[in-house]
Amino acid sequence: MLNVKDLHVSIGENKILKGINLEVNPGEVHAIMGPNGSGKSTFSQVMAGNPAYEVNSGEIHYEGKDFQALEPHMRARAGLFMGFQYPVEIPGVTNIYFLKNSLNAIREAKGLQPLDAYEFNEYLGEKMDAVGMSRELTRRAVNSGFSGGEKKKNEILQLLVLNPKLAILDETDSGLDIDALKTVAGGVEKFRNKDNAVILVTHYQRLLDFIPPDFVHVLMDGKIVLSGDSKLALELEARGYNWVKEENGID
Amino acid sequence: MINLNKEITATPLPPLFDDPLKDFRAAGLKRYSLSGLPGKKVEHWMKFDITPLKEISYTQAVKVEKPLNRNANSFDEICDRVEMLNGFIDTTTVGKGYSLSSVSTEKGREKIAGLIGTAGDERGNYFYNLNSSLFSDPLLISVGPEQSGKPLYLSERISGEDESLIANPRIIIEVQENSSLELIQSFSGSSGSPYLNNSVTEIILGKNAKLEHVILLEDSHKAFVFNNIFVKQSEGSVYNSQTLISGASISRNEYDITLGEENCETSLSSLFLGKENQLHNSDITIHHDAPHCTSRTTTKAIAGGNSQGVFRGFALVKKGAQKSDAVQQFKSLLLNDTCQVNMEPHLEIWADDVKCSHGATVGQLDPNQLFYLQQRGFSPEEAKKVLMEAFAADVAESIGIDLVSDIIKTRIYRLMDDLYE
Repeated sequence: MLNVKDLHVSIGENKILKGINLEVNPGEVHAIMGPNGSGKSTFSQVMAGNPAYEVNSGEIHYEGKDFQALEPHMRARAGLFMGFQYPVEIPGVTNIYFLKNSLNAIREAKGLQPLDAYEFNEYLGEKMDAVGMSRELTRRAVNSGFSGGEKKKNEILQLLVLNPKLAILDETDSGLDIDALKTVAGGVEKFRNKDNAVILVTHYQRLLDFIPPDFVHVLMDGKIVLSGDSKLALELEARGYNWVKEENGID
Repeated sequence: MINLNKEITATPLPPLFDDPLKDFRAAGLKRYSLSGLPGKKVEHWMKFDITPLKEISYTQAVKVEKPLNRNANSFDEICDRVEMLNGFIDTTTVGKGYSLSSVSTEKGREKIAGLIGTAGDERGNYFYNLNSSLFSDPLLISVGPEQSGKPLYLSERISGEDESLIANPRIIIEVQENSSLELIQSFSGSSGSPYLNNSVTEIILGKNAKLEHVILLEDSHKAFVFNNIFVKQSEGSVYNSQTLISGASISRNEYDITLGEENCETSLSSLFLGKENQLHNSDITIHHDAPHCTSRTTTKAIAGGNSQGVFRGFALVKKGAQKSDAVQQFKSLLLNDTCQVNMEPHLEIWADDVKCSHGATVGQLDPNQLFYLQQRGFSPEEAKKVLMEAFAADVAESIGIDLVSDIIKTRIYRLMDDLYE
């Protein structure tokens, strides 16, 4: 589904990613872990096509397509969803307007008819119940005045509404209390099936307790320095990242 | 011919009545001969260059005897109507509750002479003086407690062929004690040449009167439009206005509001949608002359092309006007590097127990918001449009006349389509 080869990325003069290789297939859950500043968020943003980042070299293929040739909205319409670490507030745009237009843009790209207001409300209602969100939040402006937990739940609601093929969740677990974490994890579990894939970008093991990954990758200094199965996450939780640094000769 | 760089002479009212407005006009002319039009060195006018409109020789607009074909308008069905064409009263179709007066009757002349200048004389300057010298066919709209149930659509239109016309429409609106009016005032024109519409509207609100006022400035791109509004409020009265500026080459809205007695409320929102080489100046002054009055000013601008906007807000709280509550908000969105917006809120406070604040922001579309929307499937164009609509939403949502609010909202969003390339 996703194939990243020798990806190098910079912001201005700063080289952030220095040769990433990653293959993700349908049905898989990958966790990308690593200390602060290792390039995890950059990786997510680059997959989604954020123009603030410059790809210096390397390849990103998604379902056989050269992803780099696609603008962000075309990547979204092709089935990529990114859960934002810091969901953006958009005052003046209601959540329901945003969700409906987003869904219909993606449906149109799939050759499906847009949902009308009634159908959409029914559909949205089911998804909101799944993440335990109050209906009142649909009438409020996108993420405006939402608490940290509400913002992250809103990301998961969008994941369920848009039902992409590949979800990259960038630190969706950060800043959540244990109940909110369970809700978010429950949403991701509902989303998962054998045809889609999830990349969880996270600092901590605790999200992985709820969503066991098939693969764990350690990102450090712009490279994936270690990959393993879910046991690797437990080891990182117990021992921290320093031993990985030492073994790989990173300062 | 009228050249605004030279002296002008007052025109008598046509036909030549025993004119009770003669003295008023003569006083206006005297004021104008002293003030003239402002030059570039005059405070408040430095950033707003009106040289192009001074360079034209104008023909004084005259009454159009043969009614012109007029396009059907979305307000026709739902509103009472008064139309001014080239500064002259054209057609009026109003229900009960209005009394319209013009100079064509003796009684009308007397009523107008009794009210003209009430709201404007103390505050008006340059373009007000010009209007007071040259106005042609003044109209007084007086509203009593009996209601027609429909909003009033007041259209000011300029129509001409090859000549450059100057028109000086003069309107007085009196909303009597405990009465209310919903008014839509539009400025438009069809002319192959530049024209100058220098309109003065004086609004007098009686005790506990209420005026909901929507102003649409939609002139052709060759027009010069000066919309001068003077409001004088009595105790407990409410004035709410929303202004949409989308037309004209050079335009200016001067709003001067006097909160003359206790417990008045006034709220003004405006939205400038600038494109091409449009130049707009908005100058809002609110005089808090009495205690316990509230004012809200929300000024928003979305500028594209080479457009320029100069926005000034001024709240003057008089000594003794305790418990005044004045808030001014200015926000602008620049769509490129070639447009310009200047926003200047001012407060001058002479009372010691007041709540006053102001703020101004100038920004661009937020790249994080644009990216977020695009990550959710919105094309770059859709994303920009959504954010511009969101920026203008509070002005669009504040339209206080329910019957027309959807029409105007749709109009605002349609106009935005022209703004981004």
